[in-house]
Amino acid sequence: MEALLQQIEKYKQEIAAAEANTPEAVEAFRIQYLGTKGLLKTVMGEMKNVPNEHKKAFGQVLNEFKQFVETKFETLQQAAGGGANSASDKSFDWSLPGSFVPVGTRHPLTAVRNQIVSIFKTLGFAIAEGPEIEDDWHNFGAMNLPEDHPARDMQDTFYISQNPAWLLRTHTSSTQARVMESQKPPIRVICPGRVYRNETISARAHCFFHQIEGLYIDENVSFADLKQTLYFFVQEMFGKDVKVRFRPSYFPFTEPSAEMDISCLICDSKGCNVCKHTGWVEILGSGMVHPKVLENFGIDSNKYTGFAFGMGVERICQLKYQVNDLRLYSQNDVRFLKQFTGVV
Amino acid sequence: MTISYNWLQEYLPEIVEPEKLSKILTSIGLEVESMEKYQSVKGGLDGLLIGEVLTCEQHPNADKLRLTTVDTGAAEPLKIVCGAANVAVGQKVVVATVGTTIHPISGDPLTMRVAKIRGEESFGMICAEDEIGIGTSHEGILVLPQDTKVGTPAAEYFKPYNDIIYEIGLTPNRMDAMSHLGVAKDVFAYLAHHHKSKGKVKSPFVNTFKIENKNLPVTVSVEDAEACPRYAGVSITGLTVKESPEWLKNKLKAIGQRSINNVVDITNFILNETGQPLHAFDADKIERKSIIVKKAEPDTVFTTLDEKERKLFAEDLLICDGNRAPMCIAGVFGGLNSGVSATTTNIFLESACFASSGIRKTSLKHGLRTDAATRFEKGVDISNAVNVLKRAALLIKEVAGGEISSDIIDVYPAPKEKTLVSLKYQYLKKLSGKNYHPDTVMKILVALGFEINREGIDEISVAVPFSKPDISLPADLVEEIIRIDGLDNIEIPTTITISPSVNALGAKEALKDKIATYLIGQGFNEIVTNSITNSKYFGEEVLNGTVKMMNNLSADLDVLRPSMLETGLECIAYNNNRKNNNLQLFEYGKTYHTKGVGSYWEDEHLALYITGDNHEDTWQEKAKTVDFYRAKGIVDAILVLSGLDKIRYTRDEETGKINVSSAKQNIAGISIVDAATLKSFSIKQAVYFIDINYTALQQQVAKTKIVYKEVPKFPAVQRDLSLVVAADTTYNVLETVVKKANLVKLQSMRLFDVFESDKLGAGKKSMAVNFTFLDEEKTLTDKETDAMMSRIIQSFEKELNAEIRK
Repeated sequence: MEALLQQIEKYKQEIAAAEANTPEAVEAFRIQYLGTKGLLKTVMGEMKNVPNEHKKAFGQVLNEFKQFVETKFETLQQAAGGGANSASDKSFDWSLPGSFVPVGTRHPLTAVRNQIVSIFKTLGFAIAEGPEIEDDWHNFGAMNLPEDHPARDMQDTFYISQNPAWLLRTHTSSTQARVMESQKPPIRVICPGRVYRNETISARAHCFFHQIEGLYIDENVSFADLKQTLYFFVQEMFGKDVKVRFRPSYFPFTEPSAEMDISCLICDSKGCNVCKHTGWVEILGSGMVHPKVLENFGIDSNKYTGFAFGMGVERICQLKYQVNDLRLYSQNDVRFLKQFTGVV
Repeated sequence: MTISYNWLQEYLPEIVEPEKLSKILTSIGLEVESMEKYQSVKGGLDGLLIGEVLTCEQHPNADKLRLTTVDTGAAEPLKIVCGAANVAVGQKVVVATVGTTIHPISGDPLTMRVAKIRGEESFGMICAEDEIGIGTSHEGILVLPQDTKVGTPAAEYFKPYNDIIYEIGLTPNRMDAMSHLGVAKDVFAYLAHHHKSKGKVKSPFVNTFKIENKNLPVTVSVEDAEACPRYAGVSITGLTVKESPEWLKNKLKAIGQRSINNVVDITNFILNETGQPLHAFDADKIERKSIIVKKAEPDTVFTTLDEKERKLFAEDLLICDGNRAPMCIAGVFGGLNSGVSATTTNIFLESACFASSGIRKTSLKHGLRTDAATRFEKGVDISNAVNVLKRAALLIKEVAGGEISSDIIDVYPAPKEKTLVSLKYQYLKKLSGKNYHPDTVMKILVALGFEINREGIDEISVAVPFSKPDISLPADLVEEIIRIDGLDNIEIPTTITISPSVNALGAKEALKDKIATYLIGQGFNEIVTNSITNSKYFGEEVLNGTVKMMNNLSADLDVLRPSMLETGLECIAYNNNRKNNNLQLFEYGKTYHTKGVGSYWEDEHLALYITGDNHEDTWQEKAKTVDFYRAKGIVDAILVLSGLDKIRYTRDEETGKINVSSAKQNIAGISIVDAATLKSFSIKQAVYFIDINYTALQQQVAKTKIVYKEVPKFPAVQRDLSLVVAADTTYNVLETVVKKANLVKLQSMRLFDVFESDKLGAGKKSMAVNFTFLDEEKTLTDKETDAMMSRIIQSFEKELNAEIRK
């Protein structure tokens, strides 16, 4: 028994020292040690000569030895550039599926939000955040929405309390208000965030959604600058060929106000249901910050001018990926989410 | 706002093609949401001709059919098979020739083809009125008078009314454009600026108004001049209420309004022409021929035109008769008994101006969102009340006859002054980014109806028309100018000016992205759940600090979430129900908390949810159900990626939650969701929930500094140790024991095997640990390493009564 173990130890040293630099030499190694008449078989055969009380311990030694030889063979094989994964090996099935490597995805809304944010970051906009539970002043009053403005109706806004009024912000303009409150011009921020509306949940409306608003205040900021920034944004977002159209519009916190349309990407402006056969789709609202809003924060509206804009992330996502039901975003069906795995 | 092309065109100085008009409207801020054809007769009778039946014989193979030849003015008469019993030689008829599409009153359009009917060819059809959509009769073919000219297009004979209807998405500041005339004024300004149009808006107001007698004087007293700043009216006697003439019916029908009778139709027509709502009272129903404008007595019951009894509120403004009995809710809705009926012969016509806030309240409270109410709510042109009244009175005379039988009554105690606004050219340039010539500015403003008050070298001062109450600031004038000139005509600069702003949230965003990218590589999907959730998920104690909405959407969406767990479980349940059981999800989200009104805070979280198998069976690897250690490994990785060390795990004995801290700040918790909670969400598999306090994580990250340390010059030495310990010994205890041994050269320990076996003895288990030692100054000798190992072994033996396996 003892002699046998010593013999195995000697084999081990011999095998450890073995070299094989060509596939032929590797094959020779295989025949010598692992072949049907190879050394391993011979050593295994010794088992029958071992007394019963030692059989278990010897079995372990044998197993270890077997593993040792096999490992050495694989090492030699790889070093010689051949083996089971070699193209020359007929038994190598390259078409078997690759090993399982997990892949997940970001939510389309965050993917789109990040795309938007990074475009504005390249233009030097900083990110600003604010609370979702807001007071009446930051959400409405400061934004030039007077007491009896229809948007303040309970039908549109979730209230937490009245007198004093606390509510769930209806737009991220409240963050702009907080920035103007705490910062002096120049101000150049974008405010991404979640907003709430008291709307019955359907394919076209939801009680929460996401906005990104931007604000730039400095001396001599003009509507032309607004157009430039937003044109740059849509080209980055939707490609260089996208066309834009500005339409006069109305928001209480901007004057002049404009809505921006882009050429419909779904039908290539030929007319479809998404663009209501006009060839244009609405993408965001914008305008020059209303003098009253500036004055609300002690910013001299004769010296400073500014532009502001706001867009819905869900809307951009809808235009980019043709998601036609708002509820899908918060249902988080993994079959939905996985469709966006490839979003860059 | 519905606008008719034909109608609008009546006021414009030049003809503008419909498509072009649509573009103009959108460009000046009157967004065309839809543009549709209106045809009083579907298809407009296109292609149909008047013909004369030349011959008419029995069809050889069918009793009920005739063979005819019909002259339609073409070189050859047409052979037509006709099934009508009344067809006869010499009749003038409507013919649909081959290729013509007819639009029957009911059913689908039909295009004529050469047909073989029972063996005889037919080249068209002689039509009945229902077949071409001009009536409902199917009593044989339509026979026209003998003097009708053969070959005339049927459209020329029947003159169906065709129009184009624009649906305009009117923004709330454009009360000036709530009528055809208002829109025309805006379009005119565009034409004047862009086409150098010389003409003017064709005003419908004329000076031919004349009082014919004073047989029906009516007195008016306004008791609440604030709610009713102007009240004008006139009486007309001897008129006949009847059907409206075609032109009036067509105009109203085209914009989707029902024709009622000639008098009511004129008031609707005027509303849509000028934006001024009118009301016609049956003058014989006005007691004492006296009108009192006053607030309602609360709880008065009043029956409105829709035959509903309504309880009035004290704020409601009423038009009452001489007995102070209500006849009409001012500016909102008429009464059942005082309005114009088929038997009315004398009327009192009201043209008033009511304050918008009162109208809004009343109309909302009663749920009466009438056309008149929406106009008053936005504000009507107070200066125009009498002009409109005269125009309406003349039109009523035109369609209903009668005589104007009173003076114009006009209660207008405090005539409004026009608002003056001045605009510096420099400001215009600064705000718009375009250099406008003062002349251009002046011309645009004049074309829009502003009066020039004063023109200076560097500024212009104008009086704002009453139709534009929204304009009071220079910025408002800038908008007027740039929208008429066109926003698309402001050039985009080629260089960009940036006032740089330091991004304080850059690090926060970057870490979020870094962790998210890692998690995606681990197979996690990001979710976005509703932060409004169901209060039923939470116990009373939690709810005390939870933010509740006063006006919730529904009972199951009534609070802002105080915890990230439940919305995630909803998502897992949703997916499990759709046979997606293997889920690894994460969400960056907030929870919301309160200590009472005015005291709110929002906590940021990174929440992770792990459930099901790690993956499906593959040819290399069988599926494995994920366990707690997967969750722990993910937390480890996130913290390492965030640059944190000194991470400690402790267990809350009460809740079983594993708390994770770094530098003594609690950062995360790992929970195995309890069975009762899972059951309440109908989830039938284990869920591991990781809740990372993102604010705390960031605070720790902010403290972390990464400083380069020299890479070790000497090799590390590894040793394995296998020990048998009591089965309830935790790995944590092993770590503590080793830590207590205080070996400075011990770099790390790694557990690589744990097993229990009968062979080890009851209540025992084996744990195998690998130790890595490193001396930064020299290579460790075997002797030194052995010494350290024996210290470890001794500690294990002493403290844990461990048995070392050799």
